Amino acid sequence: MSKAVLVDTTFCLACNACSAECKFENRPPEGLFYTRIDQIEMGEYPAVRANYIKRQCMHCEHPACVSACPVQALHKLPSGPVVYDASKCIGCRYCMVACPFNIPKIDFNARFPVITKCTFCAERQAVGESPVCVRTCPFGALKLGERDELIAEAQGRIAKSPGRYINHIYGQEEAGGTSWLYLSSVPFKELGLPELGPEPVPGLSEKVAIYGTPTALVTVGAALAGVYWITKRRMELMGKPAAQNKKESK
Amino acid sequence: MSATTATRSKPSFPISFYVLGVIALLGLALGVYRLATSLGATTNLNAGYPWGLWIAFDFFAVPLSAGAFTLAATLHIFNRKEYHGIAHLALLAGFLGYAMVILVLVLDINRWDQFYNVLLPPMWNLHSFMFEVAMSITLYFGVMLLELFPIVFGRKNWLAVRVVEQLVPLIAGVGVLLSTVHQSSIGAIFLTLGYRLDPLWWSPILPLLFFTSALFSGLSVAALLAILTWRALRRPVPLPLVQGLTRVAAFIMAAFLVLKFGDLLLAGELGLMFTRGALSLVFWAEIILLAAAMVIYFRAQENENALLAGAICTLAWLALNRFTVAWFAQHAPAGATYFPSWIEIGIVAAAFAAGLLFYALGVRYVPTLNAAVTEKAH
Repeated sequence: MSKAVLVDTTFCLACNACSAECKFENRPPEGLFYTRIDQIEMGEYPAVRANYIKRQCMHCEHPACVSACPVQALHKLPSGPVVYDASKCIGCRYCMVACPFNIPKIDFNARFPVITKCTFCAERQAVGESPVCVRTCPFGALKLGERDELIAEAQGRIAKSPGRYINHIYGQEEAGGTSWLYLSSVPFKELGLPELGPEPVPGLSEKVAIYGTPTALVTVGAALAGVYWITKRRMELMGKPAAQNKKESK
Repeated sequence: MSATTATRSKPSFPISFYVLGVIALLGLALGVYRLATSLGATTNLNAGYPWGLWIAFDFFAVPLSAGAFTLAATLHIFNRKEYHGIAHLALLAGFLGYAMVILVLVLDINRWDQFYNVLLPPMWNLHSFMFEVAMSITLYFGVMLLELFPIVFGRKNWLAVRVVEQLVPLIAGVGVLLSTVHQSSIGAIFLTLGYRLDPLWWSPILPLLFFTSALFSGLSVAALLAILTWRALRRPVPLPLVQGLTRVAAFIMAAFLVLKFGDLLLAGELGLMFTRGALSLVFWAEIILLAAAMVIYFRAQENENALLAGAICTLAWLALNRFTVAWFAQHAPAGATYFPSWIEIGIVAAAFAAGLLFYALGVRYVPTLNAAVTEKAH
């Protein structure tokens, strides 16, 4: 079964303990973060309101970055995390443009930059520990668990306090589902999360790669062989002298 | 007989050769500087625009080099022997184009120290069109070397030359297949970018659009090379051959326009042609350039200068289209902006200069290539 995290943004007070502790434990390059708190102000003065959202890699069920990477430097673990192997990466940055959440980053000032993004603390999880951010959050805004159980729990929270939440669990369907799930009191678009359909982002691309490429190879190959054979045969039928003339003139 | 034709005009290079050479050498120095420092120190790439001028150049230069495979098909598959001169020049130009693409790509990737990973089977990701493009371009580069080998050394009586000569139709066929794959796969790279690429350009048939446009671009480059190279060597331009290339290109352009508008129509997105602001203008600039080229190709077949103008329109379209898809029409996260640094621009200028210079040198000093122009063609 695969692990997931439920982020209840209504509990987040933007204390930044999660991002500070993550930065301390994971040590990403200067200027880059595995996780950060976005503060989005809404309304006109004086009726201004701020909403907070913790952002990090969503650990998609069908990650566009994994599909995009030419050398399998990124892959999705059965236990949930999308992880990165710097020793494979060639630095084409296709993952950076393919990710609809704009998550993978590099330090452009490094000589040989590596992809920097949340690892879901895969190594800590492998030995039974919680991700640093989940462990740190003092307000219980983050809950680690099995994905289906967390979806059930999120539905329960919405049913129990319909005034507190909008009726939408972000990540349940988006982009084919993500391992990080969100509850919110305001539409997710206002928190900066993109509006995505239920199809996996790389779905079409993978279909074309698996079916389109071999089909194109076979049909174009057969067409080339056919044309080659026909033109050659026609030249033979046109009679030897003509063919010889053409050859000699070359 | 023609070993002398090449060396006859040995004495001095025209001044333009020196200019191109200096630009190319400066580019080489900039390239070394880029590898010695970082992308941040040399480019304006950033988190919102991880891809910039260099990748746009690559996606433009690959179809710009498509003359090699379209003419290889004309010569070896369709067996039109009268095109062998133009096909040799298109092969040289294509080879140089791919060489520049590979060089710029090495500067662009941030782990160039382990670029060879993409060639190691355990690493391959068959789902990734970036993989398909990288692999197919690498293999095709080898195919082009094989195709060039018997042309450049055709006058040496080596066994290897004779063997490769016998296999040329097969080698050319493999090259056409590989080109079909990567010309369309470059379009397919953008299939995952539906959220980022403007809907006027994003389409599920991007691979088909990229492939058909590579066909007419390649034929147009070959026509352009024919006119300019024959003129440069003060020989009468083989107009019937140029007419053949441009006529076929015009039909493919018509098919492309039907695909493009048909796709927008079926997606219910025709309205976007008028509602995307500056991008709508770019769209119309593209359509006007391409339509102009097509009309010229169809209606001005007797006029050499008109056909030259048509080929130039086609290449302007190609540059605009590929740069738009790779750069202008990508909606980066809010607040991100990008304009290339002078080093990025310098590298691209140097790539063009080096390509042009080596093409001119090749036509001048490789006896068989020179003879492709100076000998009576058919």
